[in-house]
Amino acid sequence: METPLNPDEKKILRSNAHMDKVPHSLINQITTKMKNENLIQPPPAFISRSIPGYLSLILLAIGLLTAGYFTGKSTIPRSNATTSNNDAAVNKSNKSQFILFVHNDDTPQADPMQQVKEYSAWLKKIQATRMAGGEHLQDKGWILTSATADKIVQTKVQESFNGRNEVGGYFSFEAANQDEAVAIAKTCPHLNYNGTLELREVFQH
Amino acid sequence: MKILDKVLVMAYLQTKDEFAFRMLYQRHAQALWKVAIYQCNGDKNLAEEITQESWIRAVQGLERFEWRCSLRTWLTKIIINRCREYYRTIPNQSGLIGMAYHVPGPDHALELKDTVSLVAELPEGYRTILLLHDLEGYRHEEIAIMLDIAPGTSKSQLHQARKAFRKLFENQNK
Repeated sequence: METPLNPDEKKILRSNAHMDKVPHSLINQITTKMKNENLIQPPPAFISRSIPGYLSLILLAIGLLTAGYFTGKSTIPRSNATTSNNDAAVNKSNKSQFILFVHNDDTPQADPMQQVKEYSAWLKKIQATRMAGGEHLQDKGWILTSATADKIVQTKVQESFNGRNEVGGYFSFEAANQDEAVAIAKTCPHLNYNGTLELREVFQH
Repeated sequence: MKILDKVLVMAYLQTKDEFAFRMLYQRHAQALWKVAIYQCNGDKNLAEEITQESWIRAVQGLERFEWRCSLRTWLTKIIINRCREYYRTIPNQSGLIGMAYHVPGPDHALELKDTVSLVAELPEGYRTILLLHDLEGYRHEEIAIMLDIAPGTSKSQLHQARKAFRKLFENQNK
């Protein structure tokens, strides 16, 4: 039977293991070199400016994940609405489709990693009981009004909205009725960051 | 968590965004640095160079990474390989001989003086496996990938490494 190292032996070994912290300057050296080799693209202005840019990135990541980007390797399951949670399971024929728009408003500074974790966990929880998905939206869009309809102008959304209230992405899910949809929406982590959500029911034909 | 690595890798590959890369870097920087500085025998300048080149190499190969092991295992393997490549270019040096050792601080200097040189007497392979398994807690399956060996070899190497280490330790205390 192999005997593991005892604490004294580990101490000696550790004394040689240079437990220094990684130098702060190292990341800058690496990113500088990456820029020189075109491995990093300059971020769009909206990303470097504010937290909403971070949110866009988070939503993009979650969108890729839920879109099955990992060709079946994703650990977020695609639900088929068969579920272990019978209370929450809803007869598919009675369900309505809802879209939850996530606005890129000025959410407070937060740990982006924690946000990715929270949003992913939230979506995973919903997907355990119903069909649900999410996508990140392109940062550019078209604002059409009757005044400009004859000369459609492509514009950055955040410029049109002065950096607030543009839609950064959306989640879609099924719910039995509006009350249940609102209850689900209220659990979205975006509200923990003082963010704005917009819930809309898909019109049933 | 593997899922967070996947999310960040895909976000980086889609956008080539610096922020996405920095988040990825932050998740693994300290663990990789430990391996690099250990393999470089406490030579910080060399460890920085090795780490930098390894990250660039990793980023260039990210698209081909198939997630058959964890990202950290793969990144650690790149660091170890880069160190070995470096030492192969220097005659008569395995990365362990004749280089200065880092001592954690004046309070520990006296206490550790002898033990540091003690560990230095171990062959590079033994030292590496002791670091990865006994200090960093990697499993034999992970170490096997990092070192391009079979898991069984990793186990027998660890056995030999501990034996050699204890023998040195006992001789030291006689």
